[in-house]
Amino acid sequence: MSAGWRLRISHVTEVRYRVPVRASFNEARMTPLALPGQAVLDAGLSVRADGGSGDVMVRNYRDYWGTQVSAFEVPAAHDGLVIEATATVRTSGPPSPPAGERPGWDEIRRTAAGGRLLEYLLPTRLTTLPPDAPAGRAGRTPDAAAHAIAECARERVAFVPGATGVRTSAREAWGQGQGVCQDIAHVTVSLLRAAGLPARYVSGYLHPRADPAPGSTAAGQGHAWVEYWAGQWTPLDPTHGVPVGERHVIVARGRDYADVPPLKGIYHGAPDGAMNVTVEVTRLL
Amino acid sequence: MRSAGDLIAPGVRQRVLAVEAFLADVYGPGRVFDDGVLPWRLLYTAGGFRREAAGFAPPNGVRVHVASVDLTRDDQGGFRVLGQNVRAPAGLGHLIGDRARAYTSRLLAALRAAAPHAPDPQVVVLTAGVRGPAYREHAALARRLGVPLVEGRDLSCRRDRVYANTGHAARPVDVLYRHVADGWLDPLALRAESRLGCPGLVNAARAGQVTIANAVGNGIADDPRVCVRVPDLIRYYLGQEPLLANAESLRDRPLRAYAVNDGDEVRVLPGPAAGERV
Repeated sequence: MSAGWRLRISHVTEVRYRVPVRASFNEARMTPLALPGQAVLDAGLSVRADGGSGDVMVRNYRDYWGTQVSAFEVPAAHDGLVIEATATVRTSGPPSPPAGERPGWDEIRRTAAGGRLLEYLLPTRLTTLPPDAPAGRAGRTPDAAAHAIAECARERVAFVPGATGVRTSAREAWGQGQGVCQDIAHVTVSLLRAAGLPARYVSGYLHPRADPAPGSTAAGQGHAWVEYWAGQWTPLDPTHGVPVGERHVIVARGRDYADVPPLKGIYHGAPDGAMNVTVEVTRLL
Repeated sequence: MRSAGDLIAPGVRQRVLAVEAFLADVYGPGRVFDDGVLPWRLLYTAGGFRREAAGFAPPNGVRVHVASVDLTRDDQGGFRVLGQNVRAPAGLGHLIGDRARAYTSRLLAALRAAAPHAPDPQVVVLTAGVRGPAYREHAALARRLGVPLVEGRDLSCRRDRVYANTGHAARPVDVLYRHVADGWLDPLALRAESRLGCPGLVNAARAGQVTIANAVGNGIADDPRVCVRVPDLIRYYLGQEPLLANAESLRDRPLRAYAVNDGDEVRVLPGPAAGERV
């Protein structure tokens, strides 16, 4: 097993309003999870409101899904917000599966139907199955079926930034054949569940290069991939078709995007804010 | 001779205590599902389950501050339970006379007992507004309780404290006796399009700075699939046999009992007498 990478993430979100807004209430889900294979060495989130109030107090809690949520509010009028989330994470990829046989379809179905895993088998608004979607398990092992499904989703939904929005469902993305990582992940999750595999949506970061030199900074991206359960949770990156490993940093996991939005908020004012997101990922070691 | 209330009260009290234990379990460890008393599928497909309410407990442990239980007579003259409401039971504003006075003082005491910290807690009644169908009832209720009646737009949150703008200055709110359904309480945590609540309420409750009465997420207990299993929940959580059975049919005109829970005691009052509006 490799010693892993050390990654520094800087995720800056700038929001500009043409006319000042007030009474802004927000929640950010941007802090990486502490997990086997992912150690969080430090993490922080700061918020600045432009046009008066200055620094904003941030309060943290863990939600139902175990995600760290940073809640903050800006009562006074302001014409911009800057949210800066930073983290240093040591990644060594998901733990390797234990020796021995992986469970078959029947065992997965039995285990999932009666327990907490069932939550990841039921469809949600964003992960309803496209009506003409193929059944994914015929004659295959669960792992082989999962990989075939990820490939199917990648072939069906071309990666076209801007083609969809955060509320686009799997059915819509499937229909139009275009989307971003969020849509490809939603389609994959829908197909995995329809095949009988509990599946969850993963929100996080990805280093854009497979083998970057330590010390180099790259323009990274917020990313989404999936995990399915076949005896244990097993990751898949359907957008890129690459193994999930040191390049991936997990922030949150839920049934779909709506459980794990990086930023959501509500304010008094005209709904015409412009948002600019910059993610930089630096491999330190 | 024993009154109907004497027969009903122990059974309603027992039912409310079992429902309290169930809600603490649903939004906590989930033992009742792990132990197979109820299926996980029920929880994950129930509209009343609010994941936003998971992982924190209200200040005095009470989620069901007010309950109503609908009862019917069976063939032997006993009482049976038709259903319950532990979300936001209606009809209290229409009680009249001595019973209304007795009920109101108990209700106010129960709400104040649920306050997070203040020695002299501020209770307010939250209504959906003058256009809401039950506005007059909410206004009557607030008047009897002697507390302000507010709408969502009168409320604001600041650093996990809730304030009510009641004309003069904004005053801190300790207990929000709400008559707005879960989904509409907080556009940050729940339905973003809602204008009936106030952003930040759920996080204020999570921080233990305000008590929302009844608690967010109680609707899971009113799910018909849960209601019919309350006798099992009484056995599971309380280790007792149910004093009131569920009704098997809906033949008779229902009576109603109200329960008020202040955390130490559940007090039960009979519902409206014949001719009273509910």
